[in-house]
Amino acid sequence: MSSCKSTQKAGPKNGFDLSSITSILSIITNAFKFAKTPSTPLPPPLIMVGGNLRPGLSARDIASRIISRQSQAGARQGDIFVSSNNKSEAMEVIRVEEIVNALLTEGKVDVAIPPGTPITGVGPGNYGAPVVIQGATTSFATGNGIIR
Amino acid sequence: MPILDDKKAVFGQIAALKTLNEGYPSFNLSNSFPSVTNEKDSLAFLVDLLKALIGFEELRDTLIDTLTFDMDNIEEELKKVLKLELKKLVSCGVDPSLPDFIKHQTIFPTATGVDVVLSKIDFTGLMFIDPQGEFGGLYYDDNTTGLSSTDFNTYLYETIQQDGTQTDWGAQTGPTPILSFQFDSVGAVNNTLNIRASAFYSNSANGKTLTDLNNDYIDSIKLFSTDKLVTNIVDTLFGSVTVKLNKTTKQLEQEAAVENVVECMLNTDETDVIDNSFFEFSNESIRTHQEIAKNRKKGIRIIKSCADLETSVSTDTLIDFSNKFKATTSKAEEKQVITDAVNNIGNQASSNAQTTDKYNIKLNFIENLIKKLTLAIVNVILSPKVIMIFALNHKIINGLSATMDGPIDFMKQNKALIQGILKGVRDAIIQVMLKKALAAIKKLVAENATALITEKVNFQKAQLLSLVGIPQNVIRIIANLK
Repeated sequence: MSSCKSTQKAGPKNGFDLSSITSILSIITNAFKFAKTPSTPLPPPLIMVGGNLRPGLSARDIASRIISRQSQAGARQGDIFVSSNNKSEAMEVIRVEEIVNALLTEGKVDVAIPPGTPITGVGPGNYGAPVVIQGATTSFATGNGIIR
Repeated sequence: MPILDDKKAVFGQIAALKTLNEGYPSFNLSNSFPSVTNEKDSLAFLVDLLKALIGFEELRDTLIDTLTFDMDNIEEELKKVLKLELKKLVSCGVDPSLPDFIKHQTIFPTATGVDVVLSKIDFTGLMFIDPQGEFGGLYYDDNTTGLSSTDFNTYLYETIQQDGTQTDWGAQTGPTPILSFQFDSVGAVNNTLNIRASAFYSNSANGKTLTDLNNDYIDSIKLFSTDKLVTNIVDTLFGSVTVKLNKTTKQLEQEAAVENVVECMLNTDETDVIDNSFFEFSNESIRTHQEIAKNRKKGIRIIKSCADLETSVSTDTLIDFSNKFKATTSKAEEKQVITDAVNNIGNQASSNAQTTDKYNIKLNFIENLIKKLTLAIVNVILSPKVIMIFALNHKIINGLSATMDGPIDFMKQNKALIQGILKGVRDAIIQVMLKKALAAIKKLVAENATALITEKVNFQKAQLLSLVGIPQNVIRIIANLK
């Protein structure tokens, strides 16, 4: 159909109007929203012990798992039915290598420890006898880490 | 471009949720959804949204349900709009009582009534179609009972045939006559309809005001029936009846111009002002109207596929549908007849297409049925049964020489009425579609939320196990990574 002319604005109106595209878009957009719960924290001793057992990130392992699952999404695997190499698989390797490289060499983890964290310490007393102290941190503490 | 961005974001969300829930992306945004632009037509957007969410079959069923169960409510709403606009017209006048000059001659012998040239209330040339002729059933309800017909348009046609004889309208559907009509083919001005209040409404003892007359008249008429609306849409799309009726090119161009105005008014937001520029056309628009008129005159519709495809729907299909619809006695029967007709017309429209295009053509037909429903209702409003009462009121308020030159002038002079009608119809259809869309989105989001919780629990378990030295292949099974 023919084009329409641009219109003047009558100014904002109050209330909800079903004929208005902005109202409809607002209802639809809100329908996609739902509340998400925060994840449960992992036990710190387990992280300390188990962290040492982890092998670390491997670009080759990740790429090979993705390529082996390509058929689940209906993507072609290997180069059996075409004369050239499978470029999307080669691209997958490059993509994962770059991502893992960036994570390993450029990634950084900042840790924030909140005030009130319980602490226990041992030190020599006035006469050399060990003294155990118990308390809590009084300010924020920060720390750095790297991804492996 | 906030509207375009918001629309894209909605379709993006649907694509993401469908891929996550069903494992595959199911549509291509660029060519499947023409409404994804900055246009403000909310109905077109919802049609596209439902295509993405529920697909062709459910979209068709939604339309059929609307045509079967919601049309009575829409008619009620539109009658309220008509009464309100007539009341606004009358309240501009000083005296709300019936003026003497429109009274019945038996009550006020010197009353002249109001003379209206027939062509000024019959913009589409409806009165050239015989209600009992081959195509009469496609345009008139209760088309075989002559002056006793409960359809005002049929009654008016029969009055015209009684050249020079006065007849009454009102007792066909209500307790008393409301208006009296006399058609004179020859006179000071030829083909004139003389309109007066009936003797009952003219008698001051009955205390009837002009507002009473208007309201009672609107209550006495049936605005539209589903079979007429479907016929109107199919004719607008394919020219199925136009080709047989031999309508003039000028008439068809005028109909295309009406469609243009309706589409532009639908494409406005609640804050837009409808000014007179909506009723003026550029050279490009006029060329488009001419092209549409040319195709309708040929009885074809050009559909863009790999090559231009000519499609058509036969008049017999529409006549068969109209006859079956009139014979129905329950809503269940109505629904079945409408379902069969929609399927038949879709199949016929796609019969010339290649197998790969058939589905798209049927979908296109369903989309057009929804989008053009508002236009079809406006076309019904532009028929003599509604124009007549507005013409009468215009003459009473603005003087006997006041006229409306064609449908575009009528729409221009009654912008608020047309806006009210479009809003009423559009809101009713949007309400049904929005409900469907929200239900489908809710289902998608709920499926995703459940999957999200399961995923979170599985990964938490996998992470804990990774910290106690469980091998990766076992962890992957637990994390549901095959």
